[in-house]
Amino acid sequence: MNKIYINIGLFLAIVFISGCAPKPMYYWEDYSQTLYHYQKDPSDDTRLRHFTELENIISISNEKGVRVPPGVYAELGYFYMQKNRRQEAIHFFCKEKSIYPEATVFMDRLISGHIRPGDNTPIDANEVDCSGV
Amino acid sequence: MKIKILLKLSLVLFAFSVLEGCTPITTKGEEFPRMYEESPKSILILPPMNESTAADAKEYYSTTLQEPLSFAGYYTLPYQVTSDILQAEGIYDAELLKDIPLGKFREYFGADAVLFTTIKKWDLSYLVIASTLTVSIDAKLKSTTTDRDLWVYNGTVVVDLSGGAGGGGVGGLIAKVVIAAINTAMADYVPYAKQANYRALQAIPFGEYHKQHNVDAKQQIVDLTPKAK
Repeated sequence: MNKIYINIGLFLAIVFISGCAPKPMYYWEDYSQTLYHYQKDPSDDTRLRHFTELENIISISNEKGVRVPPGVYAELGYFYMQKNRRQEAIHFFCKEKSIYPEATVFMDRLISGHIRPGDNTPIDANEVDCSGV
Repeated sequence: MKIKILLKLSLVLFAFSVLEGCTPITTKGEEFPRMYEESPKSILILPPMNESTAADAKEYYSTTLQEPLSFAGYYTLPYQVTSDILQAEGIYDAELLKDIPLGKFREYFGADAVLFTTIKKWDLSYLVIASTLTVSIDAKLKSTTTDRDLWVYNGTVVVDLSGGAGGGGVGGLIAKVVIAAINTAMADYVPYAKQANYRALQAIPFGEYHKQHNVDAKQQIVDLTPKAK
């Protein structure tokens, strides 16, 4: 009888060891939800909710000591850019490329003002000081 | 004694059947060798083409892709920003994307690869016992340096909308029906779309941020890609 229990234990162990999820790499929280609603029905309300969710993801990630998910800082920066708050926008674009070097080309493009929304005064991205973000 | 052996055997077999699902036919390395050759880091998700009858399918699908791709170890460019910019540039129709040289996406967004997707089917079926969402996707990850197909997926995922909650028996069944009814009434399919995407991306070789990056080539996968191309 005991052997049966051992075997069942073995079976469960195999399943658990193989199927167990590792510690999460990222905390995306309700990102997909708020983004879906914002895309589907872009209004002040859905925009604000998605914006708040981005801030929430950043604070939870920092709290848990994991990397902020790809694109979250960039999206937040883009929100500021649309509101013509360029200093904040640049700050977040810098953040994005500081944790994801793959983002550099796109972030520099956003920083330099080559993209439509907001203040378009050209800035040389190479001259923007991203240190200390 | 015999019973014990039989029991042991069946348990082991059961364990394997749970783990494997169906017969693996290939490995990641054999199926997607170019992923290992080029090792793309950044992925640009392009707005999907929607050939299904569901008007919302495009948003459901595109807003639930970044998360599974990031967990697979890739840097995904922020879809909300990139799709907004593409739209501002006059590229609001997925059909127009096909005419753009892939190198442009590297130049503009710094993307190593672009993900083209076509939603073939997005069907909801409401049955008394089980409600399901059936999603059929054709996806292609293309290199922006070599124009080659790095990863291809053509498949159908069926997601159980009753959430799988509730055990057996009549009580469980009723609970399932109630949950399914609530789910369909709320018409919020984001979690299910995400599930479908997680499953579609199951066989993708892991990217640089994943612990198993470059060591998963031998990993066995179920062959889902079309042979003749």
